[in-house]
Amino acid sequence: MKMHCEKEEEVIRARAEGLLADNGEPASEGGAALREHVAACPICQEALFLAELFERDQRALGAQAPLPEADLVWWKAQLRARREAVRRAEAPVVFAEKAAWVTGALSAAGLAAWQWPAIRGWLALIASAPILGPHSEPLAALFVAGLVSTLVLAGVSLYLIWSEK
Amino acid sequence: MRAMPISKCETLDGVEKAQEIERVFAMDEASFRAFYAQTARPLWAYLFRASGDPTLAEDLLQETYYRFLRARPDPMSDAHRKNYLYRIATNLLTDHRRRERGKEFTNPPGEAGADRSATIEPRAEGGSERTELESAFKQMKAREREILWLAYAEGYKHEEIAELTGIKAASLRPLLFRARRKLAEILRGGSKA
Ligand SMILES: [Zn+2]
Repeated sequence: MKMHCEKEEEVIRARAEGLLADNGEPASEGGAALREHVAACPICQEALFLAELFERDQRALGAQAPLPEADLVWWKAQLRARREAVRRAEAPVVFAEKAAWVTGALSAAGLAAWQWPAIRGWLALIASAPILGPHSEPLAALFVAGLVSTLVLAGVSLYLIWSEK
Repeated sequence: MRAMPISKCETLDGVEKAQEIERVFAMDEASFRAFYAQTARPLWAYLFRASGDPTLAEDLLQETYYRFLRARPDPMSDAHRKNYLYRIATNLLTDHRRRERGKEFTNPPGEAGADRSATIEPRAEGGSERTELESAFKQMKAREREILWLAYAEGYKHEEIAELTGIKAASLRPLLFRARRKLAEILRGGSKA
């Protein structure tokens, strides 16, 4: 038996359009020719058999389908779309925050490298003198600067933690 | 500047909300309701027959409409919209199968790979025919079930099925004929025609 008939798609389409229905009405010219073809073509007969079977099945299944209401599908989709929009909108902010932390850390490291002699002197001073001596102005300035930046960083961190919540 | 938190976003007034959704979605609510009324039942039948699982069919149905709404396709005819919907559904079926195949490799047999399929209890009228079709479909491969349904329940042309499923047009024809033959033989009780 051959596997394939050139007219099969045409036959299925004609059936869907009602051209093959044997309802006692005189068939159109195309319909009559197709009916004649189907009568002699086992491939098209088989295709029509499946099309009719599937149509009945589709109708029965559709009537029993446990479908959610259109309103519910719409509402859920709305909610999800909005959540995704918020997530997308927040993505650059999250990236900017991470970038700010990296930049801050790199700046601090750069500053430390640039001011390394002063830091070394300061460390030496602390190491050698338990009480600050008469030449301790730069050290005091550095100490104050360090304290200020620590406080600023702590404030920024607290703000970020709070705003995340 | 911080992004708008969800609570703020969810309390936008009605007009703003409607405008926002219209920008995000492919159609307004009334058009969606009409489109859904027209397409949801046959789409569910397709998803159910292709997957054999009513719960999965419902999940995939909702996902299909969500993706359809989000895709914001250009204004298109009803037929094109329907094709677009079926393409999304077919892709989701394919993705689901891939995930399930992945699980078979990572889970011991009988766990994730367990048969989640279930039947929709056939009503008396045409019940035995449906039971037969159901059991015949279980013997078909997933791809075969899909292309058969698209061809004979939905009446898609071969070229359209190739487009919907991503199967090459030249491969589709023999695939479809073999599937049709196989199904017809199973339905006839395995007798060779
Ligand atoms: Zn033929």
